[in-house]
Amino acid sequence: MDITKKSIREHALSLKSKEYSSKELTKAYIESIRQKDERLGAFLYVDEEAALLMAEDADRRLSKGDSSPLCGIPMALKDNICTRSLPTTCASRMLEGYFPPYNATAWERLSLAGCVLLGKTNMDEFAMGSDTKNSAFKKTLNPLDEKRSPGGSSGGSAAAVCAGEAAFALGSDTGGSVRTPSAFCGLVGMKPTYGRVSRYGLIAFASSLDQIGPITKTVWDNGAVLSAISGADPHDLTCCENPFIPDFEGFSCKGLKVGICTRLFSERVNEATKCASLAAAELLRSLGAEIVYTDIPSAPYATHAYYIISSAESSSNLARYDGLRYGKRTEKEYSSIGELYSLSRGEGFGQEVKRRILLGTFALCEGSYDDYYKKACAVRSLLKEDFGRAFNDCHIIISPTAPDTAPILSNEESPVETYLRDELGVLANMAGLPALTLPFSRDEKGLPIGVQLMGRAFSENLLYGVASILEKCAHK
Amino acid sequence: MNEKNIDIEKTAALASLALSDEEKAQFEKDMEQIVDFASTLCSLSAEGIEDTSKGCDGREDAALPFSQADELLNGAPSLFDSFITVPKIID
Repeated sequence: MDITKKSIREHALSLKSKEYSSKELTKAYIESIRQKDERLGAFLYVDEEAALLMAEDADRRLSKGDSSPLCGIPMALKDNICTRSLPTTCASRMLEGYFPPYNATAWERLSLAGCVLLGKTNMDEFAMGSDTKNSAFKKTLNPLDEKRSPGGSSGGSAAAVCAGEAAFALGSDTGGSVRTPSAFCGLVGMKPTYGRVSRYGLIAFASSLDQIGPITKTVWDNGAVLSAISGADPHDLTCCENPFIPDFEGFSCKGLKVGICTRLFSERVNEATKCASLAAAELLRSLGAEIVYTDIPSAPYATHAYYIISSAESSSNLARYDGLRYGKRTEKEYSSIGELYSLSRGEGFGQEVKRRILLGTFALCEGSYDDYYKKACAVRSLLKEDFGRAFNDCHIIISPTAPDTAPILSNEESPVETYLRDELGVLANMAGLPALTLPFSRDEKGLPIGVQLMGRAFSENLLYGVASILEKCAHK
Repeated sequence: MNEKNIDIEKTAALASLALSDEEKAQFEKDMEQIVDFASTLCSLSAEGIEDTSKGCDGREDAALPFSQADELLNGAPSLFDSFITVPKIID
């Protein structure tokens, strides 16, 4: 068997039984990257030498009886997660060649657990996009069908795991950016509760929405990674005390109330993806759950509000890229400090980033603030209330992860058409709630269909429990 | 509906973004559609609804000692002692 196709759990057993070593496993993934990645474009940077050194260190720990399930496991990080030893560019010319002076907490914790970092993965520039085609450096292809999108903005991470170039990866999710690529690539992706995972070292896009999340082959793997990266961090004032401790083995559907909100099955959602979610709900019902019809009345405004809030926050967060202290500085002539800033930023940022900065700046201007930003914040309050009421009647809400399966890569879609594809992803971020996708079935083209589970704050164990049941019965 | 037109040049100046003429022309078109899309919010009554702008309340924002100043400075394009040097600009 090609060992690069195995899950983290399978690797952990094989490493423990000395079927192979971490160094041998790492070499296998390196070879996989060498053979496939020039075409697939999942990675921006790979450091083979450093990865093998980490693997040797992991083998020493394993020989001394280290029982961490992640010890010796080769993985990848989205390139907006800071690493001292590798560039962190957010796939932007603005940060080309930038080496952060610190590691992100999430990576630091995985490193302490003995993970082997293979490299940094491609993404949409500054996490703004849904197909990874806004990267300044390269396109990433979907390993399942290379004419199609791997999803975004964590498309490189999803493609790497799907193609057997890494055992798992971390992505970041602001409006679906872990879940959509996971769905398009047939993987499990979790956006944790806001505050579950430290954002220290995650280069900010929209600080009130961003969360780091694992992309894995299986539900068990996903829980193991989330457990390692979650928990209190004094560096991040929004990070909560509770670490995630997996406790979902043997989950039973008896007493489970599964919510369906028909508003989330709009005319933009394709029939096959609707049917997959409904079939998953029906499966849970056959195993003892109760289906409850619920509503999120403010859901139709969520995408509009999301793009205003995320753009407003990003226009503020990206103001730090001024060409002075780090990052791109223009080499053109200028006659004022303002011109130095404008030229550096004009050269450093790509088109989509500029669009979002313009939208965010506009939304925060006097004359627009009340009609756009304040209204968007009001929608956010309504979404939190609506979800709160819905979760009085049910434990989880099931829906499609995305309106369709992976689309053909093209440049013909307008920005607004792209934004509308996020309608199912943005809800959980706006309400601060956990949401997980898992592959449940395939469409008529053979493409994986992701089913999304959303839950109350800090209910990741419940989501994993339900997902583990669906995973056993999935028609992948 | 209070639809607004976005003044690309003014907004880009506020955002310190230099745009080429081609970009200005493209963004005029794009932003008209995007602002029209976002203007769905304008028709919503927000009377009596408290805004939510944060992800959560979080802990107290207290200052703590920081020992990596040198490493941060080393990322600058050029240094003089502990100062970041920038090109001389005379207005």
